[in-house]
Amino acid sequence: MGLACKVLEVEMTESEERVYDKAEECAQKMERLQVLLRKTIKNIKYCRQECRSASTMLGAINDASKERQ
Amino acid sequence: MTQAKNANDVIFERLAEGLDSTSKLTHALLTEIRESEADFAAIKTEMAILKENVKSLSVIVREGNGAASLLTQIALLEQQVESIDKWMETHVAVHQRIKDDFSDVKDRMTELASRLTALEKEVQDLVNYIEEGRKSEIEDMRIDLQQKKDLEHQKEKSAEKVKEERQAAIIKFLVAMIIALITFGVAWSTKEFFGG
Repeated sequence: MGLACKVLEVEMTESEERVYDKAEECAQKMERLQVLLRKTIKNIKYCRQECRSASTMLGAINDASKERQ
Repeated sequence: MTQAKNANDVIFERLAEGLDSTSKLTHALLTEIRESEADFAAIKTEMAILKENVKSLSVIVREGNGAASLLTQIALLEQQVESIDKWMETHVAVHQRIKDDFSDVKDRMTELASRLTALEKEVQDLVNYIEEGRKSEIEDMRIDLQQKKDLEHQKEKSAEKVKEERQAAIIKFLVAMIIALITFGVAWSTKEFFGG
């Protein structure tokens, strides 16, 4: 008896069971993908923030350099 | 069969929900990526300016800005520091000796100063002693002079007294002589008158 049959507690043919198992695997992969996407969004947000502060700092350095010149 | 169909629906609903959620997340990710482009562009601009600045600095360091390059100047400085180091090594003994001599001179100066202070005190004492001696000598002389003056004054007084006594004696003698003469004259006159 496959995983889908255990979860859904139904009787299925072998081909149906393969489809459901594949669907279940697909769902799990999608969940993992969602987790990864959330992490990526979080990282991009952090990256943007750091980028903004670095940009401000570089701007200050460049301004000081311009004043000296 | 109906149960399988229901399970089929459940599975596909779950898959559809998952896909929907994934799509939303992907959309959010795309939005973030698009928005981050502006931030990256800003930092790119700043980096380009920084690059230009670093380039000009590099030119100054390597080729100099009208003067000798910084590298040359640093090399010259290194040479000078090295020569100063050598000079220091050579002259450290001399410097130490001078330092010792100076310390010795300083000690001697302190000793001399203390001796000078003692000598000054002694000279002051001597001056005080001489001054006191002179004062007492002057006082003695003054007393002596006063005594001499008093003596002279007494002598003058006694001489005057003697003179006065002599004058009085002469006057007395003269008076006596006058009286005697008068008496004699009177007697003579009387004798002649009475036929003597």
